[in-house]
Order: sequence, then structure tokens, then C-alpha cells
Amino acid sequence: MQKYFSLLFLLCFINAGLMAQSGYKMKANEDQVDADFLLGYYQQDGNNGAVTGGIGTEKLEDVASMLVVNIPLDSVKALNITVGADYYSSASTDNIDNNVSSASSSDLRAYANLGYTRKNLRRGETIGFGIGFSSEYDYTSFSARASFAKEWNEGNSELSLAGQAFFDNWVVILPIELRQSARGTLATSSRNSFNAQAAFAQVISPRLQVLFSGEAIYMQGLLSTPFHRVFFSDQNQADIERLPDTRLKIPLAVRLTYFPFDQLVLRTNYRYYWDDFGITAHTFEVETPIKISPTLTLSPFYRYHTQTAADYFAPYAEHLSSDAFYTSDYDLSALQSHKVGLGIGITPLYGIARLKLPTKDRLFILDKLQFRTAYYTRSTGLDALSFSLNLGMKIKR
Amino acid sequence: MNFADPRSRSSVLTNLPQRHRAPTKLRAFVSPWLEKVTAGVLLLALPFALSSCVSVKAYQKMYLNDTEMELAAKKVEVFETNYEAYREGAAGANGGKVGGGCGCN
Repeated sequence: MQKYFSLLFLLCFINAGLMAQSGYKMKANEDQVDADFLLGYYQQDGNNGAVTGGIGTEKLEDVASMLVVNIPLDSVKALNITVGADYYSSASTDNIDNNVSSASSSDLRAYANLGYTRKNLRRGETIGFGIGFSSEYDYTSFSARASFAKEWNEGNSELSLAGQAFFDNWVVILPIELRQSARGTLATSSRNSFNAQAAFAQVISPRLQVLFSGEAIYMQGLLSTPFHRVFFSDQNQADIERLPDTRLKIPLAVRLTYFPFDQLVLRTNYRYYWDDFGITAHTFEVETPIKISPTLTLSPFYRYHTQTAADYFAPYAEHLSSDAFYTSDYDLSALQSHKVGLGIGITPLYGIARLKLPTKDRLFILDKLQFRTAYYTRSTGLDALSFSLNLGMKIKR
Repeated sequence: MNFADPRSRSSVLTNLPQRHRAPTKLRAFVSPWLEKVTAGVLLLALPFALSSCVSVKAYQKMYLNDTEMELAAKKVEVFETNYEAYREGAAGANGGKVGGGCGCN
């Protein structure tokens, strides 16, 4: 039996080798600039605010915008630029200081990423590098990224590897009444994260393909949020949230897309998650884009998520002050969540609008419009609503 | 299952002829790990092996090239992914933030 398996593997690998030599070349960069302008609105409400120790409002609103531009430098080299900003207002963070409306009750986060990719068309390889920056009132982050991807088997198989490092820093803001008692006890204000990602994509048939992906994420530094309060069952004096200074996360995912009929696509995604805080999670998503016409696509979707609680979580006033670590942040509690919504895509063959640019006979095309709305509900009582809009654009000859 | 009886174990090592078997103490330590490693390697190798058995030609990729068939989250989902990273302790492997830049998790 083992011989048969060995033979099967050998044949498959020889087959792969032969296919790699068939003269197939990966797709070169198109001579056009692609851009996506995204807008998002999000609102939530609940009664388990972590700033107030697991009770109190979680009301929050967020308005987000992002511009993603891909600029081909030639047929193999390209630049990718992402810039964005979020503006949020949070009733919860306003409780950091009960006397004065704190700066964190509304905040602006701005970020930018710059990436460079280079393809080797004959070998089917793409390498990429990138750097990033993000800044908000009490948090700054620098990041670097490197990636490698190789496709073979006439583009039917692709392996991609990526590594990413974040170097973040908190401006430590403690709850007003804890500033004298707790400030000196935080060992660091920095947080570093290192991610290693691997993904393997495979075409199964002319209508079916699958992606396996996994990550290992190692975080170190200040992993708690310094303005989260924790109340105890055995003393009146509250403290700030305290969590270990390292965390290892391992998410694994399988994504499958299937085109069973000419008017219907099935997109599914399953994710398993484990971390050493004690959280284990399963997430399942399904989306069924329905092609009403060549121009219009409606995409209803559903997502289910369940997770166990972190070892350090307990509700309001249920922790013991003798514990080394504690949090009453319900994002780390045992929970189930459901998300349901609808996407609308408009992609006319020749674009929604066209404009001839005066320079170098270039043509600006408003290529597509995508809208998406989702309702999210969590078993802890938090409800949220979001709206997103994507305007896809091209500049081509 | 009776672990003392080698016939009840589906181990690669324990099913070897007697002359190929490792000493008992070493086998007891190595065998469970070797089984797991072998299973892991086979599992990882399987998609690669299968990959060469499937070849869809470029002219057959009309459906695969449809934007809805992309094996990634849509760009329009990017903000939802971020919100989920804030609201659920378990984040990652979905193209969203997995640490850094957002102060979440």
C-alpha cells in the first residue's frame, strides 16, 4: 500500500515538473492604474463597556475612508499605495475621565502603506516588500512586510508566503481615579507583533477553487488596554486591565469558491483560531452572489462566529484581586455572533463613466460600484450596523 | 483501546517487522510524535501532490476569472473585517489586521 502511495506522489510531482516546463508564463502587469476608493460607516451599542469594567455603554460610531492605488511601473514591477483615515466617537472612552470629556472620546486614526512588487514571469514568482505607518491619539504603529508567491501548473496552483512585523507604541492614558495608584506599574508602553503567513491556492475544476491559509502571530509588550478598568469581588479599589506580555495566535482557514450555475457563485470560508490566552474560535461565512444581469450582482451573506473566553476574563466585580491577570473586556469573553447582510455590485462592461484625460491620451474610467450593508449581533447584547461603498477606478490608454 | 497490545495500534513503527523496530523505550517516546509528524507532512504534501493532477487551461478559466470567484475577501469588506478584529478576541487569517496599528486585541 505504501508503494502505491509513493508512486502516486512521485507521479504527481513529476507531472508538476513537466507542467512547469510547458512554456506557461504568468500574467504580466496591465498598462493601467487601478484605484479603489472606499467609504465606511459603522455604529454599535451594547452594555458591557470595558472602560467601565464590563458594565456601561459601548456606543460607538466610526466613519472610515481608504484609497488603494496600484501603479504598474512596467510589465513586472508595480507600486501599491494605501492611505486612509478613520474618525470615531465613543461614549465608552469618554468615561476614562468622568469630569472632563477626554480627547479619546473622539479620535482620528490616519494610516499609509507603501508596497513594491516584482514578478518573474517565466518562473511564475512574485516578490514584494512594504512599509506602513499608522497614528492615532494614543497609539502609533510602524510596520514592515515581505512576501513571496509562486504559481505553477499553468497558474492552477499558487503558494504564497509573507512575513510582517509591527512596532507599536501606546501613549499610556489611565482612568482618572487610577492615575496615582497604577501608573508606575506598567513595565512597557510598546507592543510588537510578528506575523508569518502561508497560503496555498488550488484550482480544482473550471468552476471550483480552494485556498488553505495559516498564520502564526506572536505579540509581545503591553497587550492590555491601559484605560480599561477592572473591579474585584474582594476589594473596592479597582485596577487597570492586566494581561500577559506575550501572546501567540494561530488562525487556520479554508476558503472555497464555486460557480455552480451561470447566475450563481458560492463563496465560503471557514476559520479555526487558537491562542495561548485560552481562546478557541470557529468562524463560518457564506456568500452567494447572484448575477441578476451582466451588470448587476446581488450578494446576500451570512457569518457565524463562536469563541471561548480568555482565561483572564470575568464579568464586572467577579475577579479576585490576588489574580495576576484580569480583564472584563467582553471582546475576550465567550460569545457567539451572527452577521447578515447584502452586497450590491454594479460593473458595466464599459464602465459607469469615462473621461478622457489631456495627458498622454489616457482614459479615466469609473469601473465599478460596490455597496454592502451588514447587521451584526453578539450574544453579549452588542448590536452593530455597517455600510461600505467601494468605487473602483482605472486609468488606461 | 488496549495500548499494551501492539496489534491494536495503527502505528507505522509498531507494524514494522520485529527486526526493524526501535527499542521499546525509544519507540514509546518516538512513535506518537513520529505518527503526528508523518500525518502532518502528508497532510501538507497532499495539496501539492494533488495540484499537479489538476490542470485547467487558460481558455477554460472563464468562470474562475470572474471577480466573484476571487479567493480573498472583497475590498469592500475591509472595514467590516477591521470592526470584527475589534469586537472579537479571535482575529487573523482573514486578510484583516492581526495586531498593530489599531490598538485592538
